[in-house]
Amino acid sequence: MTTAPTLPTVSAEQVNPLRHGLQIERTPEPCIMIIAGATGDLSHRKLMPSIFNLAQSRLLPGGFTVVGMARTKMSDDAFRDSVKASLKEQGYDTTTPVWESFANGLYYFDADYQDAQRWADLGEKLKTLDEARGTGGNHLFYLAVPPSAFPTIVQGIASSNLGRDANDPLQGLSPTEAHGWVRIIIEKPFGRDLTSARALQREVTNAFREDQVYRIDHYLGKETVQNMLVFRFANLLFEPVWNRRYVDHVQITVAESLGLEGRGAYYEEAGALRDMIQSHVMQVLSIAAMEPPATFKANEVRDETAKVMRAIRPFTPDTIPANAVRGQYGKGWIGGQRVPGYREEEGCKPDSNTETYAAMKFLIDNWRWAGVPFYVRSGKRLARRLSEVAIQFRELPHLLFEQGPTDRVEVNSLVLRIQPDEGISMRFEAKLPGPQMSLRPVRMDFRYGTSFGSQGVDGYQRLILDCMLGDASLFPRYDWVDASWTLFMPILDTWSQTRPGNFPNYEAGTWGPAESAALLERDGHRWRRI
Amino acid sequence: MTNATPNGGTITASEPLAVDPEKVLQTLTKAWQQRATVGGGDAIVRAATLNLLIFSQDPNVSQLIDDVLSEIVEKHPLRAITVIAQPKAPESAMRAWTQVHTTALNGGVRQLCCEQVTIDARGDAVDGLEGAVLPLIDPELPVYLWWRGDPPFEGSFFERLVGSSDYMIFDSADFREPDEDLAWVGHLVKDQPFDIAYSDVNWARLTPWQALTAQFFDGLEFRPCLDAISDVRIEYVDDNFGSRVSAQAWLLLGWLASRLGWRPVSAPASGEDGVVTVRLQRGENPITVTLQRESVEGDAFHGVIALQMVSTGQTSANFRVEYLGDSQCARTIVRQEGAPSIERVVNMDEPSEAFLIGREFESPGRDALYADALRAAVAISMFGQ
Repeated sequence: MTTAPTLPTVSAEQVNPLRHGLQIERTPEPCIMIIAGATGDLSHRKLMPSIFNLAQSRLLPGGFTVVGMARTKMSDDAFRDSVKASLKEQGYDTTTPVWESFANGLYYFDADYQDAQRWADLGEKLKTLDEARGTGGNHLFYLAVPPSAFPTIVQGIASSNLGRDANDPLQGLSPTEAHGWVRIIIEKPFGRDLTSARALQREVTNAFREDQVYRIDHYLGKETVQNMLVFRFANLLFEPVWNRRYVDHVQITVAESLGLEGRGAYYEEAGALRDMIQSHVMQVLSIAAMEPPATFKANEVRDETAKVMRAIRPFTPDTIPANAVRGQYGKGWIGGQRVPGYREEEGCKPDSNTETYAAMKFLIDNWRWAGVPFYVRSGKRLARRLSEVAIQFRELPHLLFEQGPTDRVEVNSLVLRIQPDEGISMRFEAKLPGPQMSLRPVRMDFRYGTSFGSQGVDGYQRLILDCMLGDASLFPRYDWVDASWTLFMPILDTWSQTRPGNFPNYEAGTWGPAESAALLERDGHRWRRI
Repeated sequence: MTNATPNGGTITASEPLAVDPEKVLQTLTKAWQQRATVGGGDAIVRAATLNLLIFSQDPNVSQLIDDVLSEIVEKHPLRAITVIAQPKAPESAMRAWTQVHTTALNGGVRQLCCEQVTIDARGDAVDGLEGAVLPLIDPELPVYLWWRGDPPFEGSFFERLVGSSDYMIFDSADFREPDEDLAWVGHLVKDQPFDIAYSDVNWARLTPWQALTAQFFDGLEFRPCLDAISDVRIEYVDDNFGSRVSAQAWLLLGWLASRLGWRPVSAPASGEDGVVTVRLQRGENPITVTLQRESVEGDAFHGVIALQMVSTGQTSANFRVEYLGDSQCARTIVRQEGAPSIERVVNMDEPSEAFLIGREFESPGRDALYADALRAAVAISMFGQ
């Protein structure tokens, strides 16, 4: 007699056997997303549309639930109505069965973030919802609140043990005991200087392990930023020239034509250095300059970006004037419209010294980049909105072709455009048709919007999904954040102690102060025309 | 002709230009050069990511192919070579046409995103297709052969085209004898006589069904239920081929069986009202599968419309995915005794042919999941034969 072979039980498998091999975007496990600051602008304008987009794309798990949290007292239905109104205002169709189904998973919980009892109550509510919605104790906290509220909320989570999950050694539970995972997404800025960042980190580590913490920088969710990794490490063509031997210098620009858009009070405390350069720009620089990781696992990628930060030559009070420039816009013209100067904006002091523009030169002291300057600039009310990384290659070692009186050909350049029109373009020389050996630069473009048709998903959408899936590759780890603040503290200290004297020093609608051009001219370079 | 694209751009297709089949490549190059000089010398960009060889014996297929190309070329710049072969036509002739499709980039520059060649061969001229078609393939790019026809796929021309291709796309929804035709394809996929990757558009249509079914078990709570599935019901609409179970229903069952280790223990039994019953086993656990043909009035929708799985014992639960045709949505439901049911509604648009073909370009390589599902589907449908 033969007996049937013994099959492994599905329940013993760590992975869902029906998920294996499916050629679809991964879908997270069922979970509850708790949004602190759910009635705020970020939640309504960015988060809820991103989450609803995920729902429309079938990328959310069954039972997915949102618990909106804020001080305002409100019923579940009132919260649903407010989300619906906001989505409708942004052009979403909220008359569909998909909306109705999505709305059924929206709940509201009013809380004073300082009230420990309310955090305990939240814990009970989450337990009830886990049972009703099949979310298995998987909880994602999203702090969509002003940075000043981060510590209070993290303390609240810690006080009620809501940050503990099945992987917490203190719980003594195995993952199969179905207490799920707990993660937290914290919006930038993570601190406003090194001291406050370290203090916040202490609070965070009281409630969460580092692998539970996702510090969001929506720039890293952009297709081109991710494509930089693919471009560099999936093509043999570029990586061999991605070093000091062939690259003359690198320019990173993050330019905005907008002003403050009602964020004057926040910006007065932040400035361009904190708002853009310390976070977005340095993340982009880290990815552009990093060494290839052994695998694409989150910590290996983040190890390499952190190494870049640690290799950047530190600033000292003596080196700052020659390597860092600040500016503030005065009144001017944008798109044919007269716009006010920074000091005339709502929420800004009439004698403010907050920089709305910063440009600086970095040197990365490692084998690959020794001697190659990385110039970065970022500002508000510049001539146009544009973000890009431009790799400027070296001059030819020997010129074979006569080019008339200048005997010069344009150097090759490679531009990774982050926004708008995400894509990549390369400039190289070609011969003009005709009997003469005349050269002319030609640009070859690759654009997401045209080469691949679709624009890819929004940065928030990508990153929220990654967090639910437990993929932290595109989220800065704390050692990176610490290294970044450490790098910038001398500049922040120097700038806070010295009055710029000539603010405002650039007109709105231009490309920034004259000192910015001088920063490159000293090295025989100039900013790209963009 | 200009069509709007989903991204708000436009694709402009030139009028078809009749050309000597031997001068197709020269004509395409000339078309590019002409466009490069129009508009003040702005160099037009030419982009291509693949060759798409389309074979059909149906002379009426041109409109469908034009529709597909106009939808996919913005996302997948390509060279398309359509071959329409009518060997039984009384006349012997070979004709060729070229067309180029362009899309606007910023700064007034246009991108040539599709070079389209159509070759129509009739009568004895079909024998000359090989020499006319193969030189048109861009050797730098992968070749996708979209074969529009029933199995058996055979003949010297088929073999030469397949031999020059990297991927072959077909649609088992068109199979007239689903059981036997799937078995034929199963042989190709398993034995690999041509050493290429195969893609079944009908399999791609199942993707949302697979995703929604898999989602039930992403959480640990319901995963043990997969050990205790006792009844499966697949409902489908297909009035094309009499009483036979549709290829899509077999593939969905094949997928479940291959992933969950189910084996057939008896031949499919046909009952009344379009019901086919299949008995399977996992270890010693019996599983009864009901394949239920449904009819819907009016609309020509074909395909799976519901999947239900019931687990018994300690992990008793009922999982159902059902298509809501009116709203192009699907409802997923989990019912457990003594617990509130968990329901949600998600989008399930019927994907266009172009979407499905484009999707095949995005997931290149041999699909082991399909191979396993196909093997299981054939083992079940042909059990005892």
